[in-house]
Amino acid sequence: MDLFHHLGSGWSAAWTAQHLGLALAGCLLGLLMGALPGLGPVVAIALLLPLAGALGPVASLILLASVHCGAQYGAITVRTLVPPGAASSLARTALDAHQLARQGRAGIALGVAGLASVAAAWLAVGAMLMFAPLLTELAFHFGPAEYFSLMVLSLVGAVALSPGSLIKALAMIVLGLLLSQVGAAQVSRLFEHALGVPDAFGQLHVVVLAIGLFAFGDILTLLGEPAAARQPVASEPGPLRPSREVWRQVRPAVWRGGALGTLLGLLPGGGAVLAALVSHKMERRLAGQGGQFGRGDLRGVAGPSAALQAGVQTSFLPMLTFGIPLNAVMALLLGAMAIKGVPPGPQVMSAQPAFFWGLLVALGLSHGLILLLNLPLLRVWIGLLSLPYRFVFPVVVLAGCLGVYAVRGQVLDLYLAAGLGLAGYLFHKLRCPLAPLLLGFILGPMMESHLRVALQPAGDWRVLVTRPVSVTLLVVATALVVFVLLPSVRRPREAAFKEE
Amino acid sequence: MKIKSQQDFWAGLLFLTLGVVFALGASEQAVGSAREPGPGFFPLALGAVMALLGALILFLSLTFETDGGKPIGTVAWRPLLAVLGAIVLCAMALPTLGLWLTCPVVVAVASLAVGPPHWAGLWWMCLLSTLVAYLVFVVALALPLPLGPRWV
Repeated sequence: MDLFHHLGSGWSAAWTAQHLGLALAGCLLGLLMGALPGLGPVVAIALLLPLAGALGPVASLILLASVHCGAQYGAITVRTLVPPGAASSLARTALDAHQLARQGRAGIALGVAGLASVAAAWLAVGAMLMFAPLLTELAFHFGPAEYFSLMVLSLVGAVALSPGSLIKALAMIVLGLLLSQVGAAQVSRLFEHALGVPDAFGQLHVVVLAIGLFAFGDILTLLGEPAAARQPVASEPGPLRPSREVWRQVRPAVWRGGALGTLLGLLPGGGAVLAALVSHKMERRLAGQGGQFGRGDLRGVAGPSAALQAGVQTSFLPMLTFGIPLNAVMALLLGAMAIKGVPPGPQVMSAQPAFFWGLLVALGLSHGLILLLNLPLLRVWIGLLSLPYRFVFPVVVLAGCLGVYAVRGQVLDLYLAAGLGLAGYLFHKLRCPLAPLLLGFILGPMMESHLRVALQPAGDWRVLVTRPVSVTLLVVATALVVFVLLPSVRRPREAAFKEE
Repeated sequence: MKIKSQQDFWAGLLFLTLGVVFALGASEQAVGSAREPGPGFFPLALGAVMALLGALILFLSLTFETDGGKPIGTVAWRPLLAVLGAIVLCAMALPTLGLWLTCPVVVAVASLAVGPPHWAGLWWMCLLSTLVAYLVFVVALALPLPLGPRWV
């Protein structure tokens, strides 16, 4: 069977001492960064991008992907143990876990959430191994016009399924597209006249952009709004391993959540978060009167955790098969692929099978490693999550500085990163989301080249609306914008995707 | 005319200005036509779209009432100065003073963002981060970084 063939080739690529060591290091780093205050998956990956520059393509992507996985589990520990500051939608899905922690049953909540996450992640990885060839096949049927329209739809979808003003998010996409264009079109000559900086933007590197906007910008934002030190509600987690009866009770919720996440994870933007929310609602409804939902029901822990983790995995699939990033993390991984000389797109699977299948198998392996690392080291993570932010951010500043310098050994990049950090702070003050900018920056060059090819030879723009698939995608994108701007949709959208 | 959302007003103004600047910069290039787009065509079009979106945001911020006027709030000058200062210091010091001296300086200056230094914590942070930086960037990545000061 094909599945076993793919599993085999992926296994032989992933199962080397170097790759396993990197996956292990990545999982530990991810768990550490996920538990520390002020470091989400995006910042963690931005900080590690420069390190990936020194590794091979498979090795660097395995490192970054395992950091991403680890950071998810670190965040689960935080959401379970720390009282939610703002009413973010992820905090809402962790409500039951947090209630259990308050009742002194943090261990069982973390145990169930961890097992459910690993099971769902394996389900999602299995589905990806099975369906990746189909999607790649589909991707090969796409011409340049269809590709361009699909990228438009993915950008619009990513901002439609996230919180905040749609128009400002669209403007940020355009800014990202422009920044990606600047080098090619040498608009930077204008800046050269104005600022005397020779070709400053002509070579804006994705690592500089990521560390400047996300790492430095986040630090400034967090320091600008001082929060109290995080205090876990329980320092003693209690027993971790769920009993057989407990597992039998939550198992259906895990599979339902996993299936839901596997599907909704393919949506751009907050697809995985949406899956977790839907799973929580669904389990609550299915449990009926017998449920303890909102007061610490283990099914309300298992379902959403499974859905979230499965969704996080399947968002890799469009990135690997179509070369389309659905969120900021995938955009950074695409950037890493481009740095390593693996041009994204449907040809990756056939041209670089070791990379493609190796990465998917390594994703599954990472979750296995986390199963062995996360809960046994729980006391370490609990100790870390209440570490005051003032001991964290100076080290992050240093790591960011050295990382930026490591990319090309240029001092100019450090000044640029400082400027981008300031810009990140400014955009936060004006409530302009940063993820759309990064998505635009990564997709810009690809969109331009697809559009230029699509317009060949006659320069006929009608090709975008005469080809049926292309026009369908564009109509869906337009409908999405109109739909989100409807007053009756605006409020539930805000509530569903609310971030901290 | 009254500004009804400070955040959107300034965001709109920012996008409008940036869009115009980018469009002007692009129009210095060969723009070509829609039939034969030159290298400046897409930046010009994108700049125009961004300027339009900025104008729309600006218009909406002056038209629709919001809760509390959406103020921008105070600017955190101290963190801005300390963190950006640390990055700029790193840019100036790293090539000349070398890794051993730059790392503690960056950590120490950045830590001023939250107030006067806690000496005990600062000492450990500097020591650990410098060691890790040496191991990662010099030993593992083999970057050509000067370690000690280079007196010219």
